[in-house]
Formats: sequence, structure tokens, C-alpha cells
Amino acid sequence: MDETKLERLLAEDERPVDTAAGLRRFRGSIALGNAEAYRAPARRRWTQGLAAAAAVAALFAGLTITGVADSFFTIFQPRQVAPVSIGRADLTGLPDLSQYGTLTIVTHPAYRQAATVDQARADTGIAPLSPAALPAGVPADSRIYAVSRGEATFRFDEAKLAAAAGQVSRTPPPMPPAIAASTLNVSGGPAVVQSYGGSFDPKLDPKSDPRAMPAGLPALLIAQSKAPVVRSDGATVDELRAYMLAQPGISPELAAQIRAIGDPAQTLLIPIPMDLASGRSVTVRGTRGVFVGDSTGIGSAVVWVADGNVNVVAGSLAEKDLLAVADSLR
Amino acid sequence: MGAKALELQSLSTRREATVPVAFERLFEREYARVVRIAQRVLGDASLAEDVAQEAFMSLYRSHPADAAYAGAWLHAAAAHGALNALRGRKRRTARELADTAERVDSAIADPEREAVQAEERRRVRAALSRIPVKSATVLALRYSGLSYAEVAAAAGTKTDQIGTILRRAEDALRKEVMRDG
Repeated sequence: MDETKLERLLAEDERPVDTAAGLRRFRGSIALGNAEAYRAPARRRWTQGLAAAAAVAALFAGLTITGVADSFFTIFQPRQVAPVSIGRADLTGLPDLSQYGTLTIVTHPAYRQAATVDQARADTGIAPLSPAALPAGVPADSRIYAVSRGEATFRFDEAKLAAAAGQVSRTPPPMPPAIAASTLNVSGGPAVVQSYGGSFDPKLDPKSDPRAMPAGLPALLIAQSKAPVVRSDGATVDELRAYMLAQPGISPELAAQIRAIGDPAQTLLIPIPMDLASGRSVTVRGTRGVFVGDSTGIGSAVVWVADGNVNVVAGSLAEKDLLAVADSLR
Repeated sequence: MGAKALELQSLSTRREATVPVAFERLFEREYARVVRIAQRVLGDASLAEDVAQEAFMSLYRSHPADAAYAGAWLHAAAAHGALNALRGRKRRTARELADTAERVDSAIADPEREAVQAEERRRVRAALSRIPVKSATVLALRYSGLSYAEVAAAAGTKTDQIGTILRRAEDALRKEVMRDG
């Protein structure tokens, strides 16, 4: 089957295109407000947007209140993961959370290499899992790192948002009073990271330190972290989710995906950048997880939540090898 | 109600909004081609138009219409959007069977030949959804009639590399098609 035949084959379904009708439809979408919103600055980068997507997804995927006696109550604590497709426009259009309030790091996570597995366990309280066997091409030499717990607060600030919106002559939806008066507390970790075939130290600069992580991932990376927890002193689940999904830059498609999550209060969303990777649900050790397949040649990963931990196995491996490693962890 | 809310309300009651002239020109120049790219991948005219509309909306939100890269950006967005839709289609088989039945019923010349070709198209599209995204993207663009230079621009590679990339992608596609057979 040559190129000419393939092209002819796929062209057989084709129907004429009415460009004028298409333009009318497009104008109609604009009129409905699908794009009449906050345009993100053109300079926003893809990678910054991905981080923002992860933050937005984690904070506002779906929230519930368990209710406790003190002023802060848990509103998000994941027990499972689900993929959410993020287009390039979604990422560049996502709201900049720094404009909605002030983030304060309460506790910086500390990251250090542990001498032994036992030390890492003692430092973090997490029992490091090991694969039963390593795939071909993955060296046996490994390093283990312990990451301490980190904590931050985010205080909503309506005046800050108004000032930021004024700079681009746009007006986002008004901030509800309950949200404007709220602070969120976000904690993550501790965590254990095991690296095979290379170091994984975010403090090292690849450009100047030969020990630093080369371009792309190590051959294999296994990370286990206590699941993140988000707590609030005022805003409720419904208020936060409704407000964030109404923000300019959140596309109807993205909002629909997030709303469709069956158990959003306990579901950690894994953003899948559509242009760079594909994502799908898989089963890891009897638990539902998300496999993220990279299309740029850097690597792939599988993520799942079990026993209160978020687990990640990543590497420059074929999908079947990656999933085999994840399934064999003990 | 504030002035901004009133402005938004009046926009929503209009049937159509105006768009900048530069964007309109880009739309008229590229829309048919963007739809064709999506149609070749999906084999579904209606879904292809949805993908095309989304691609233009994404560009409208984030990029200037008169950017030199706008056309290439739209081509890539159409290919990616269509491939994602192809992968996500849960009832692909049933829909293709229904489309085939309709076409077979109305075919004049050779219903059996049409059924065979419809099955071939299904296998090729299924294979396209399974090969790596970058390979599927360059193939989708090339099979939509784009030149090597246009495919390279959309894929973000050099024109003198695209021939090799396409050959490897075709090999991968053929292997997947044979696997399905």
C-alpha cells in the first residue's frame, strides 16, 4: 500500500466544504462568548501552562467537605487518578493563579539523597517499592532520594485580580464573597524517589554539572508521595469549582471533562497535553491508573493512587515495559 | 447590571459577532484545507468540521491571525485534533459500519467493492490511531495534499528531513495495518 493509494483511500469519504457556512458558525460561537474572554498573553509558555494546568486540576477538579471542628476542613484528598486532555489553547488560556491571590510557602520541601532504602523509609515514613526485575537496557545502579513534606497557603485577593484584569482591559467574573475571604492550605509529600540509570536532583544544573540529569528522564524513575491534601477555611466545594470553571480561558471542553469526573472530590486529574502525549486509563496492581505516552521521545509515565500514596513510574521505556515494572513493584 | 455585563448580554443576543478582518481572511484561506485534514483522518465530515472549528477557535484565542506561522499552526492543530478524536471515538466501529451500509445501499456501481474499500479505510484509520502521534501527524498532513514544505512547517521539522520522516511513518503505518489484517 503506497502513499498514493493511502491518500486516495482516505480521500474517498470526502465531502465539499462550505467555508462561508463555517465562518458563520464560527462567528456564532464568538457571539455566544466561547472566545470573548481573557486572552492569555502570547508569551506564556507551554511548560508554564502545563504546571498551571496541574495546579488548577489538583485544586479545582472537584471538591468536597468532610467537616472538622477546626477552622480548616479538608476539601480534596485523592484516592484515584483520571486523565484530562489539555489542548495547547487550554494551557495558554488557563487563568494565571498568581493573579487571583497570594501564594505563601509555609514549609519548603527538602530534597536529599538517602544512603540506603532504610534511611529513606525512616526519613519519610514511606516504604520504597522495588521492581521484581528491570527491563533490558535499564542499569541496576540506582539512587534513592527522600523529599520532606511541603506546605503552602493560597489566599484569594479580589483587589489583586481586579488590578491584573485592568492591565489587559478585561473583566473576569466577579469573585464571590465567600471565595474572596478564603484561604486554602495545600500540603504534599513526603516522598521517595528512586532513579535508575542517572541521577535526579532538581538542584543540579544540567548545563554545568555532569552529574545532573541529562536531557529527558533517567532510564527509570519510581516516585511515591503521600497524596496531596487541600483544606479550606471558608469557600465550599461548589463555590470554588463553579467559580474556577467559569473563568475566562477555561474552555467549554475542559470544563465538561472536569465536570464529568465521577468522583471529583477524591480524583487527582492528570493533565495530558494533547500535542505532546496521549493518555489513557490502565490497571496497575488492580488499581485504576493513568498511562501518559509521550510523543516527543522523552519518555512515558504511569500514575496511580494506592494506600494513600500517589505513585509514578516513568522512563524512556516502551509502554509494556513500563507497565510491567509498575505491576511488579513490591 | 454593569456596563460590561450589558455588553456581554448584547453580544449573546446577536446571531453572529464580528471578527477581525485579518482573521476572516485567514479563515477563508485555510478553512477548507483544515477541514480536509481532519476529514482524511476521521472519515466523518461533521466531526471534521467540529475539529476545524476548534482549531480556529484555539488560534483565535491565543495567536495573531497575521502571524507567518498561522497556517502551519492550524494544519498541525487539525491533525492533532482529528487524531485525538479518532483515538477517543468509542463507537467507531458501529459508526463506520453504519456509514458503510448507507454508502453501499446508495452505491450504483459495485457494492461489494465499496464494502471492501470501506474496510480498508477502517483498517488504515485504526492503524493511524495506534502509531506514534508524530508519525500519524505527518502522515495525516501529507495525505491531505500538503506539500513537503507545508508538512515540515506544521510538524516543526526541516523540509529536507521530512522525506525520511514520512517514509518511516509509512513503514510504521503499513506494519500496523498488516497487524490488524
